Amino acid sequence: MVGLKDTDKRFRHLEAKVGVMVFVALAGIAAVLVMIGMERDLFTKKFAVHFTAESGAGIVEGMPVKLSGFKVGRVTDLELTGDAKVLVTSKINKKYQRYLKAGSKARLVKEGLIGDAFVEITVEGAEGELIGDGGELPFERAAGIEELIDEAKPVLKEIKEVIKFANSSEGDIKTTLKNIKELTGELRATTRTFSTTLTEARGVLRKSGDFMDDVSQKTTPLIEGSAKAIDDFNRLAKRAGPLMDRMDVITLRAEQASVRLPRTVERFERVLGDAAVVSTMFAEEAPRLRELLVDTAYAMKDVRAIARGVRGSWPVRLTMPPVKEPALVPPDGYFYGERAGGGGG
Amino acid sequence: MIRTPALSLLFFLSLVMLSGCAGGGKSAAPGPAERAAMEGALGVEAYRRGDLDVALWRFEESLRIHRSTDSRALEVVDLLNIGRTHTARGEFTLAKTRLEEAVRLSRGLTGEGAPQAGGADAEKLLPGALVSLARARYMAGDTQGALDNIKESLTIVSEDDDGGVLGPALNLKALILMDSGRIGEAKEALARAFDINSDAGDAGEFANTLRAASELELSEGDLEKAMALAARAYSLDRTIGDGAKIALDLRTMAGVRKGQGRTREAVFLLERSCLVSVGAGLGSGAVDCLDQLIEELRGLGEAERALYYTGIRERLSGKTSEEPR
Repeated sequence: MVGLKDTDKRFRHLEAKVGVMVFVALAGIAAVLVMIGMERDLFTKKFAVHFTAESGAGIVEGMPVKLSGFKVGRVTDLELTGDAKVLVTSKINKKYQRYLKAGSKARLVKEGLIGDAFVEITVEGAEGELIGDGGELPFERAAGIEELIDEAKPVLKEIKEVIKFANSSEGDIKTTLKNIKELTGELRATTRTFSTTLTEARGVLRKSGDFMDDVSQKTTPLIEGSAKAIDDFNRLAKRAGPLMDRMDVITLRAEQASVRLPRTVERFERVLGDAAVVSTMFAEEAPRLRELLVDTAYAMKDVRAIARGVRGSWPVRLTMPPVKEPALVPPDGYFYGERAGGGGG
Repeated sequence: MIRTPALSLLFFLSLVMLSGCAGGGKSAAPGPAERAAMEGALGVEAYRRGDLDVALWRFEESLRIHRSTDSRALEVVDLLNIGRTHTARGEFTLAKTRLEEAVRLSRGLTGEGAPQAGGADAEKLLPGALVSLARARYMAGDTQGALDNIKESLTIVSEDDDGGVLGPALNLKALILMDSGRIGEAKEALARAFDINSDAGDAGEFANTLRAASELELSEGDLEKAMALAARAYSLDRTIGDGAKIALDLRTMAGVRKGQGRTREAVFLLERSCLVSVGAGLGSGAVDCLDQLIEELRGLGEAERALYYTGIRERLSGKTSEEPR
């Protein structure tokens, strides 16, 4: 084909480029293979260990073999033996061989109850020679959930019977629970009643306390006042002594007076009678009395005239003080009592 | 001559009687004028000792006698005395009536030929009547009427011979102006009253001036000065012995002490004032004083003393014979 020339720079060292690409690809593949191999422990030295299991159930090729939870190998082969048991072959990493001594055991366990199964090698109590390539380990199968279920079945059955017994209304438990329920109910009611009573009691106590305080406040001055009143009374009683004596005397005199009273009344009546007589006599004598009074007035007039004469005569006139000029009450320049403007005393 | 003592005595007495009868014939007839003068004099005497009932009765009797003889000047004197006595008894309406009558009558007495009031110039009665009328009018609530009367009396009376009217007129004027809030004018009147009363030698009227000045100082807040003036009035009134004025001075001093915050002293002075009022028989004046004292004692917590004075007050309230001045 004439078109693309070999002189195109894209084609320069083409074989080399292809070669490099192939090499890189092959290297990559090799690396992948090596990594897989390493993953699969293909490049590590191993030794074979065997154990015999009653059943191969749960054991598969490639199952990890762990020691103290650390992966040390892998199950590589399973085959039936002549007595229908299963011979399991595991390849263990050579570097862990020093841990496997006579007395080590292998067992099939699961991670958790339903996790992945693996073969675990236990070395507790193992001592003595190292187990070499092709060595035999005793095998035991650890209890999985199936075994647990098997073991639990009778227990569950018993539980069912117990529940049935417990659920029976005629049974002791139900009856006891019923009684307990009733008792609890009554207890609750009692507790409520008790709480109410307690609250009321607290209120009563508080009121009593307040009442006592109030009483105390009121009685203290009363008591003090009473003490003072008692003192005053004692003093009065002392003073009353002589008064009481006098009262006795007064009472005695009053009694005596009351005895004399009828006689006194009698005398008074007689006096009234006499007064009536006197007033009658007076009325009869009135004209004569009038004349007497007029005469007396004239006589007094004459006496006054004589007195004036004597007063005006010498030397009496000289000794008597002169009659003053009409005297005036002084014109007081002050107001007494409340004044219109609010002042004053 | 006469030998026996009996005959000598008889002769002597006859001589006396003869000369007395002759002498008595020549003297002026005493008659009603003398009696009226006597009644008037006794009335003033009763007024001075505080027996206002007797004083009034005497003055009324004197008035009756003077009226019966148409002695107008003397009638004015009697009306003045009666009016002033009614004022002292707190009977301001009656006092006003009588004093108006005195003013009316005394206006007719002025001028030549006016009758004499027993030797005193009847013209001098009008200013005195006007001053007394002003006093009664003011206490009855007629402030302007009172001021008018005082103004008229001040225009009539002369400073040289005022008949003892100018001093009281100026005192009353100052008090009325003070009560009306005209303090400046009141001070002027008091200053003039001070000069006149201190020179007049009338201790009672001068004490009135001092008391009025004390009230003025108290109202202006100068308590020290008020106390000094009141104390001076008090000492003057004590020399005169006028119980009503002494009680008034003590009450004024109590007011000053209270203003100074010296309450206990104030109550003591008030107590003394009340006791003087009671002793002087001042009636309702004493009752008012006791009311104030009882209130003050209760305020100080002195219940026992308050009760004691309450008893005195109740006894006084039952009496009707004592009247205020």
